[in-house]
Amino acid sequence: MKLLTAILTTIILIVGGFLASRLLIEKMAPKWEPNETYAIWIEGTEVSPTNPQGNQWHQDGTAPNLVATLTWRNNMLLETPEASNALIAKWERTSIKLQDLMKTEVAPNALEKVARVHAEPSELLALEVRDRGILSAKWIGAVTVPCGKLKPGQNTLLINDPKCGLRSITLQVVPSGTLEKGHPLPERINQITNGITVMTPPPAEDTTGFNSSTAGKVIQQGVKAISDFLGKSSTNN
Amino acid sequence: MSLELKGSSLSMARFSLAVACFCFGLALGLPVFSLTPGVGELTGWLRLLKPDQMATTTQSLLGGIRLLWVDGNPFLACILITFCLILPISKFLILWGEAYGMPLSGSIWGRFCRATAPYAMVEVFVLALLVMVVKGLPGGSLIVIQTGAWCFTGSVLLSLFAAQLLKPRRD
Repeated sequence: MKLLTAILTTIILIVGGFLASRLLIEKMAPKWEPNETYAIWIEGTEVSPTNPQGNQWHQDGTAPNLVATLTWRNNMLLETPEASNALIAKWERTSIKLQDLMKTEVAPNALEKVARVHAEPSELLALEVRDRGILSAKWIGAVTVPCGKLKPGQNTLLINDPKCGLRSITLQVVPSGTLEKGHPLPERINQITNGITVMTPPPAEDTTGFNSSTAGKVIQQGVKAISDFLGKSSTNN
Repeated sequence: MSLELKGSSLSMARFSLAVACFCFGLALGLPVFSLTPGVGELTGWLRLLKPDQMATTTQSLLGGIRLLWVDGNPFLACILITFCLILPISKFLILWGEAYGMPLSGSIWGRFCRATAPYAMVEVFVLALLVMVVKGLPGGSLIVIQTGAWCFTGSVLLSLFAAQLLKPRRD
């Protein structure tokens, strides 16, 4: 009896201490503060192997060319570079454009692909992923998440909705001062399953075919980029 | 008078043991240290261009054992499991047995624990070695001892104190 009491006392106290440590870690974890400005960027996404209709993404069997955007208060703050032929995309916080390489001087923060957000916990961030083709950018899926669900560190939104082509999307959330002072990033990994709302495609969108308005936008962006590039080159010369 | 003293020292020993066990449980889950990589003058640039590689990592005792196991070092993981989990827990069992008036030190398990007692401090040595090795990293890498290490130290000191209080009972 005494032996059993000794064993039980030891185990209960050690397990109690371990559970308390988990609770402490959870309680001490930093949360979304409305007074803080956060730097947010999209680190990656995973899309389903087929589109929501159950068909291949492309008729030639290739994977989609993924581009993700982050929208806050109806303004698109961030668009990632294109991840070609991918079901799982990974993006860095920085990206260098060809036109940046032509410059003699580049500020480090000019290379950053970061959105800065200062919001109440109830405000929504919208994340949208598209499959960019030559002329169109087809809708894959989009979700909204309340800012309060995000915590400093890596936040992975897990989406389990057959109508949405998205499986997960990963954001890095860092207090803006951490980046500006060059401090290391928070290590915490946070998985979010609750509070995510899957968005339906806008009525004007054709999820399966050609989209003229997006195509027009892409062409306009292309023409602008080329003219900017040529203009800069001729000025340099 | 001596019986009274014995009673108070026994309750003190039990209290110390209880806190030591709780601290040991805390030490298993809380981070033991955090490592911030640095590469001298290039630190700022690398934090910008390769943030993943330059992120701070914190490690707990159980997390470290798991990492060693997953990274293909089962031998090192087993050594740490033996010295950081099995031996300290056995030591606590023996001490609780004695605190409940059932000396286990004469049993096979007690004799085994007494024989291996000097090695129960190996975990501290392993921790110190680890910190020293990582301290030697170039470029101003920063190691910060975290709460888990203090809990572990507290647990070791309290268990030593409890053992000292229970010693007259053993004798």
